[in-house]
Amino acid sequence: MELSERKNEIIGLGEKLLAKLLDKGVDSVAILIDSHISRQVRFAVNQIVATKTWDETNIGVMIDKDKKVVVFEIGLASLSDIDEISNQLMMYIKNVPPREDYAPLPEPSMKYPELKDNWDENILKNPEMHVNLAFDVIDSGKKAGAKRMAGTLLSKAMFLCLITSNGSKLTQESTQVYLDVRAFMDKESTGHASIAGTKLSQIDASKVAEEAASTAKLSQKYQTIDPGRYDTFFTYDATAALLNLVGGATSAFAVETGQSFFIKKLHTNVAPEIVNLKDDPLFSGAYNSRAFDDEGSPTRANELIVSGELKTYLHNRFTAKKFGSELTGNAGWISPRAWNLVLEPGDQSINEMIENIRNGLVIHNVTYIRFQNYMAGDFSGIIRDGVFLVKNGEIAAAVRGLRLSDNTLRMLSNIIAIGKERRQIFHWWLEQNIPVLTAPIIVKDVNYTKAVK
Amino acid sequence: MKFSLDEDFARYAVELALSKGVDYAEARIQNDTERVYILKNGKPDAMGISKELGISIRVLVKGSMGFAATDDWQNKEKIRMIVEDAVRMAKANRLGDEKLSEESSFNVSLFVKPKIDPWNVSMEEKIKFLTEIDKSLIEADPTAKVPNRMHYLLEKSTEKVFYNSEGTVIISSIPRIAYFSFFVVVVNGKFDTRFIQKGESRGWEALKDWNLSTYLAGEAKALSKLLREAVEPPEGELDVIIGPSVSGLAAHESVGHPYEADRIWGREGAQAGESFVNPDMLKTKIGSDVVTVIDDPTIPNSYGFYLYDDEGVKAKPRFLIKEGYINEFLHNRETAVRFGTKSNAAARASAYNREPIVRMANTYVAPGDYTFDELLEDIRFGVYIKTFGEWNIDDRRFNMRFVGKEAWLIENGRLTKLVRNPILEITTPAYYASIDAIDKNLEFEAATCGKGDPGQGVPVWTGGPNIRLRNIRVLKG
Repeated sequence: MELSERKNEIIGLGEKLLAKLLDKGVDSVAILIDSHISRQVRFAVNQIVATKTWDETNIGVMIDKDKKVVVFEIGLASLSDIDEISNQLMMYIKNVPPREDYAPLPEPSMKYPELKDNWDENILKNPEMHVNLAFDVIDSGKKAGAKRMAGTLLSKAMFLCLITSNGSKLTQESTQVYLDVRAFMDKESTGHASIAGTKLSQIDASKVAEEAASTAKLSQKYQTIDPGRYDTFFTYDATAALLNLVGGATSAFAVETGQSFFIKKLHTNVAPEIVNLKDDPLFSGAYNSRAFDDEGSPTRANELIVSGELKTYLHNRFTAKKFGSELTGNAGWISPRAWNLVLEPGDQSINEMIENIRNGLVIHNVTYIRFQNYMAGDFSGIIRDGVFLVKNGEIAAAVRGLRLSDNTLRMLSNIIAIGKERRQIFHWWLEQNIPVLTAPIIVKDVNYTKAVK
Repeated sequence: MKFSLDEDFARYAVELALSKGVDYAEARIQNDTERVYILKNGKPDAMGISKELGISIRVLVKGSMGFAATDDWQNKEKIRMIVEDAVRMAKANRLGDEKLSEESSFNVSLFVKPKIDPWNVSMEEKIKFLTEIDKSLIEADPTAKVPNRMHYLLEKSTEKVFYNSEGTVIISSIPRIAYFSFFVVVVNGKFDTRFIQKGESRGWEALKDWNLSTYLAGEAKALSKLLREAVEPPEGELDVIIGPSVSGLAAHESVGHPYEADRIWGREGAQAGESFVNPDMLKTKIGSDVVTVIDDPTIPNSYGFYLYDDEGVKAKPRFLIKEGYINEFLHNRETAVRFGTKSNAAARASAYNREPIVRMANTYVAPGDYTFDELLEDIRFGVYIKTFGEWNIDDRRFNMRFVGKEAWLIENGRLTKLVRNPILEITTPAYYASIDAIDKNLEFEAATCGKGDPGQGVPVWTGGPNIRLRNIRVLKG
């Protein structure tokens, strides 16, 4: 199962496929091949409930003809269907008008960025280590006092190859790993912690387990409080969940289709001066590291919010044409997207941040976010895994039954503090699947509602 | 379309696993072929075809479950590698206590054929179809603008071969067709958004029955009228009628999910969450006598349709709540053993590379014998929430919230004024205990239910009639 042995085979396969499709008289072709071996250990109720392995090669093809575009995705074993699939796609091309936002594939760049610290041999060579890490989590959590531990350890070793008819032949290898842990004292007293990176050695299983367990323990003594507005400290995971909404809203496709709260907000202040957010797939150890996007443009760090001002949307070739913007290196074939959000840290420790809260909340996790009105940014979300009342700078008690119910733009503009320590967060239930390197934040006057019966 | 899978590779995988000394093995070859057409703001966007095809193996070794998958399903060397990996990783987990319930074996072939295969409908007709819907949306109300419009048409075929070491072989093919749209309506500078989804296990013929042009025009008009006329909703303890789309979603979220036995046991603890329901709540009262909630995979043409689940167990309707009592949980073979019962065929896997886990199919509130007018006439002052926008529910499925989209004030038994974004935030037991009457108008909506890690989106229907709740707190948005 050596991934490295496949590289030449995959590049050769891509080149053959490219030639075959060009023979059909199309204008341009892009072929994106992702060959990976992934492993997952899932645990719950203090035991491993499943181990999983995926060994897959996915082939994506984008064809341009007469300013029309079609895409398809197949597995390695379906290559024999290429003729039938491409014939169907040609039929579609015949029947649609040219795209008004059409732009050709970008020319290959002379230079692509280098990825740093994004490969770990152990992920492939030591599969049993995944199981052992999961046992470490369970044992550490129990030692820290949790009654039940649950979670996921997921790793992926990937070879990515993009070949285009205008001369791009780009490859990269990368590994990813995340640990996502939830600790239970009882059904309602829970804690959560997670960490993401590119190497198994970055996963401090004991630390993450102990954090989750300690939050769960602290959640047992709770009191009832009224719904209303509270200054709120959002931990790493909770901030990552909220920043996923921001990352999703910067996609020009979301803007174009009315699914963004940043419509008509470009070059306006959407946050206070302390907020600086970028999309950067190039920092050392970025979970979702990418040197090139799906159209072959080099990636780069894009400043999204600088001193509170929204600086850019993220583009692929079509949205860049439509918006009259330059390419940003964020192309997905249908929709551009952020690779890896990075929030610039502030200067306060977690303790200092909490000490400054007179009457507020600490929230460890925000899930199940749903919008009432995407363009306005009105939404609500479930808060869980550690919700605490803070009185005069100290945690007074756990709180249950509240629901975060606010507006993304109002919350962004109400950020009043950013922590100095950061952590990279990724797990499958982030709303937009965007990894985030983030510090905790404090948002003032966040609105909460509650069921009365 | 001709069935494209070969069961020999599944048999090979299972026999190989047995030769490695496993206690149980199953292999599933699955081919999900999709074609997606996107019309964005009136213009055809990219068209996409995807073929997710491969084989997975699941083995049970001394109480440990190992799962592995590859797309290279006809390559016996690759199959050998994934089988060995599944066994190796399962053995590394030295503390497993998984078992599977004993179930009957079947050898069945099931092919659902669409009346009109979308594969045989011309591209021209499909584009014309989406363009006409888009036109009806724009022209629905001359005084409103609909500047942002996305339409997705999805045609899907799912072929499966399931083969296990107990002699079960299920070969199936099910077509699905679905339509999604998202649009923004603007009136006098005010705007609101709407998401629509339809889906069935049928072919092109379903689209005609959905009558989408009329339906979408109606929704756009309703949103326009709402923006123009809606007033603040009343607040307080009121009588409320909720429409089929809301009662169906509520049944899915607050009955279907918490009755999934894997959640009750804790297997989904770190992801989707657990459940407020305990095993000892079975046969206890949770709702009023008029409440019966059913999950039924066998409804013909339904979006969540199947006759055998992804563990080879024969499907049947599951009565989750019967006349107000918790009657039954949703089980696969893993949870059935833990609860000392049999599987009721709730194991589903969204693709070849996903493990089968406990899922819903078509969850609905059984209709009552009232008419809608009879529900209304008994309310002096209340709210009718016909459709919803935002919703969510906590991970124990105890505390839920629905925000009305199209909603009306009820005064003296009549719908009088549109109201803006009334909020229902209520616990699950209080919700089901408050229902005093249900009408006859059972309607279903299509949805994609998410669960698992990695995530698995499976097609489902949510269904319900109009439902009347007494003395429920309503909030302003």
